[in-house]
Amino acid sequence: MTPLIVRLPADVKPACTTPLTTNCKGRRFEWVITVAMLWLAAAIVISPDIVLADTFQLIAFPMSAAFVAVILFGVGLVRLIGLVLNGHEIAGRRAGPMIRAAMAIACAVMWTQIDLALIQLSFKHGLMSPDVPFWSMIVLGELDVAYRAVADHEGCS
Amino acid sequence: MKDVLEALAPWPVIQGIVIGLIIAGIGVWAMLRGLQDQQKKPDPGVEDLQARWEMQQAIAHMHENSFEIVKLLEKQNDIGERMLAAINRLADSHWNRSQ
Repeated sequence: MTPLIVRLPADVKPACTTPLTTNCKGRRFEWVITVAMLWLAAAIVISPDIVLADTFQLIAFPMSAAFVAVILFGVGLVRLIGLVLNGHEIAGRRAGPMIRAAMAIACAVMWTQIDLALIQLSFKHGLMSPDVPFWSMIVLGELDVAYRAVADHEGCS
Repeated sequence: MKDVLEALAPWPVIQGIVIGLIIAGIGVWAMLRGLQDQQKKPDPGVEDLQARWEMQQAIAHMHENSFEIVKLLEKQNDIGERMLAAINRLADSHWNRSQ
């Protein structure tokens, strides 16, 4: 029993196969974070003093602004490659989901540093920073991506 | 956890490294769990494949007929326009005769 393949006329294109929906479907969280990382990396290159902000106190303490920008750009770029490669097979293996999961772990660690810096500042000032809930949930979101990218890669994670 | 945080409080960077490593560990565990769950997924059975095949057949049927319907509707519209033109011509000739 071979599956029946429905062939559409050349001028008929289903709405679900546009490049944007194919690459973004179910992976919008990762796309949004990737764009934010690349944006932040570009911003640090333009004005390195951004890393002097309280949010970066843990990340920037042992690293220079250029190194932080390189790390953000590198991880963002690899993540972008993973997102674009998601369905492609390299040497019989789907590399995209593994790259996505690994980069989600790396990002979770990075966002934890920002979250922790904000928590330390909150204790210092005796008032919770309004950014803490957002960064905490982004860390949880990244851990969820690490699981779902490899568990659900046949469908849309 | 609270004790660890309190013990590391004077060293914020070490706190960052320790918590970062804990998060990385949780991430690796989540990824390995995901890989295990992916491998555990059952293969689709014969019944499932048959149901999929039948569904695809139904979609193919609807797909073919939808194009046929459009073609027939176009033909119907054309006939309607021609009939309207014929009625107009008939009305014109009737009006001309009564002048």
